[in-house]
Amino acid sequence: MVISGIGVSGTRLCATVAWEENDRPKQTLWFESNLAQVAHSPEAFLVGCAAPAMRDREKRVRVEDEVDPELLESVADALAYINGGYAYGYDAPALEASRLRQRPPRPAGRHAGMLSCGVDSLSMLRLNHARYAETHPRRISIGITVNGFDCVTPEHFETLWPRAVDVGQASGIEVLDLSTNISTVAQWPHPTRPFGIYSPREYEACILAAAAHSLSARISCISIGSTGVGAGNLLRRLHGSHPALDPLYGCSWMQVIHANATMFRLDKIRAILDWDAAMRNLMVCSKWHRTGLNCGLCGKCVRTTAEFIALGKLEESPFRGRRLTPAEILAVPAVTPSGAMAWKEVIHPLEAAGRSDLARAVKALLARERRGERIATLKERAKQADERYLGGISVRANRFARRILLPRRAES
Amino acid sequence: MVISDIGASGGTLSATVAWEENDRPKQVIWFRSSAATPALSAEAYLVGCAMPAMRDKEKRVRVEGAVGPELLESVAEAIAWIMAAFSYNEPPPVLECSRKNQAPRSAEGRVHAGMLSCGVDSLALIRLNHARYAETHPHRIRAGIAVGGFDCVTPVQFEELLERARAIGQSAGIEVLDIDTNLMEVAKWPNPERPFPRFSARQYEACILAACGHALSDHVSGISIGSSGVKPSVTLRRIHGTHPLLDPLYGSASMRVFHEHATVMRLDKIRAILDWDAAMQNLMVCNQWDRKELHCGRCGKCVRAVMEFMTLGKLDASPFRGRAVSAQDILAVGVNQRNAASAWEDLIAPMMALGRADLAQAIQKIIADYRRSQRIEAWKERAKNADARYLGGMAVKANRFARRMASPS
Repeated sequence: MVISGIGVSGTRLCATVAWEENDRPKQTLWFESNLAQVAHSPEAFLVGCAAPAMRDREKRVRVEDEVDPELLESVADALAYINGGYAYGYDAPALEASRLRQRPPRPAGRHAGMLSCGVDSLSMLRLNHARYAETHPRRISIGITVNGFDCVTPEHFETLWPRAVDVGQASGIEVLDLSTNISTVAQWPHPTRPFGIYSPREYEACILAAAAHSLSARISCISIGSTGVGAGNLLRRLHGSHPALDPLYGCSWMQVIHANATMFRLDKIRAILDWDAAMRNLMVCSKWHRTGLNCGLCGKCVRTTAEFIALGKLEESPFRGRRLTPAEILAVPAVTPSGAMAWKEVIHPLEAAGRSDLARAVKALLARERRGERIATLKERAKQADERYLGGISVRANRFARRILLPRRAES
Repeated sequence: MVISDIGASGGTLSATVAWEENDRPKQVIWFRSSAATPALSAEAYLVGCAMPAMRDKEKRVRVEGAVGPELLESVAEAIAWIMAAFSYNEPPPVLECSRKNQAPRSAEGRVHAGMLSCGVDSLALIRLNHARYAETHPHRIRAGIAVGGFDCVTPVQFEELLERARAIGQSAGIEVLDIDTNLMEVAKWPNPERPFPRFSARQYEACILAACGHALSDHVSGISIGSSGVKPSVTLRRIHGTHPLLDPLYGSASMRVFHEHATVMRLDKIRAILDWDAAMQNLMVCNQWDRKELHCGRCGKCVRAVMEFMTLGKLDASPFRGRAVSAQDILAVGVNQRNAASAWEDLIAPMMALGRADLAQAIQKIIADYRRSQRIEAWKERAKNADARYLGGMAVKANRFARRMASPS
């Protein structure tokens, strides 16, 4: 992959991405802000494109511009972790730049928080302001809302923006907009799909950090709120935004901080319960095809409703008036490991709040997920044993049987 | 735990540590340097004492001095990681300070330093850093910090380290800062007389190095700690006393901590310093505290280093020239850690390529033994859990009783 033609024109920072190992057209990637001057930042494109390049087996990522050597080193580390964590099984691309930035710019000095108006970002802001005085460089004085990531359609961003501004006013911070099409670099093999297949499991923080680099004329540090699944869970699994990865997308003049990594979600909700602006503007649902603010039906919306019930604050929350039934909890589709952790955490508080029916439903949901996981593990072990001792004959026989039998069943 | 009377005079920074939940005498903990005046840093003590306090179930760590709020937050996070990784079940100590430092200092006028133990990791750290960063870059290492009271326990060992570190410093064009500390005393319990205290490297290693960095923060704005060079997949699964996830958490806005070259393998690091004469002349691999000479030649690290130089065809240019390794040496060393298993594993293919199938087989055997012992441990743990769950711990108690009866003492 070669990234060239990097330049700022008007309110837009652009670059051209050419694939070398994949038969794909050239892409023009951009970052744009109406409220802040975007910086000439080759680093933004390196951070945003390196992981997709690795996934799609590019042999190198070459940036035709000046890049900080610290970032070349740390992004290579991040790729090595993702490569090991997700067992890619092939080499990561070499990272190159036509020139090394041996005189980094003076840091712009302001600390920004990524502001999606979810629980993580709002609690990050609240806790940060409780801890740091105005004089401390770690105090968040800017919120960045990113269009082209969680918010895919213009309508989504239009919903987010006024809410972010309201939160910004309440907390006394400036709010900056940043639109980008950086996630289209990973939209293959579905180039027209609105939400590119830029799996958050592997790449999430890259997009946020890339957005921050493009605003490096205004900020020198960003904080990304952790998902609040606890230390044990984070140690077991790598994720696209992870305390071991996020700082690697930063450098000396643009630090990236993964904030509140060992804090649980319920504690985060507790931290914003008495903040009216947060309760007014909380956006939990991240379904890209939602029509309203919070769909109320997806796993995240149902879980958040349960969390507010557990804390006895449903009526102050965006889910006021909603009646949650055990059936709705049991209807939640597949739960991710981090989701399971958050569900587990809500069991005792639900019982304490007198909603044993919901707590039982949560236990049943988790038992179902564990069963599914056990079956998947057994299948995996059987496959490995077949591969090792029978040369894969059972798997092939199974595939053959499915090919023959399934169409017949479908016909009948 | 209360840390008070923090003061700097001459070349010494000292403080008094009083335990609250443990019946232990007060301790005076100090940092000394002859090359740079230690800073009046309360943060050095928070970073150095928080983990032992957690291990020994103190309810709080109160520092009577100014600490950055970001450090209070990040050390609490580091404690949470350690607790999750090593299954501590007690609540962590609350971290407190008498004043919050809401105006951290800028890096101007201070330099970036590398921890300099003269081992492979620290020498490769300097070499690779200087190859990548020009004089103008703030991340270029301009000072090396040699720590006494950690790897080097006795004064003789520290003198030896300083002599070698100075030679390296001269060759690399960096200043060498010495710092001696008795910080490890704080974790010496329950064996206060033991020369190498029970400050398990598995859990606390980087705290000591970072504390030394804070003690020198009038002079340094950040420190780099060379990673131990294991596979990225192993690194992330296993927390270790110095780890990419932990080390930066011991840094503050005034003095940052970097864990460097976490994904560079040990053989590549040795390759990076092979053509550096000063490194080859001053390399210190062995860190056995009771060693009498520079390299004991018998421990796992020494034996592995000989084989690594053999692999690279540079044994005669190394400090191990003239030494040979037999399968017996390898079998005598064994493996007791996952990191070491990973490093040994990397040597199998090169040994085969060198035509030393005997050594490769010996490595395979010690790794297999290690894995077997791990499996047995895992089964024991499962049996204990099942016993606790279904029999109320009766089987474990019966086993203990039977052992007590069977043992003559």
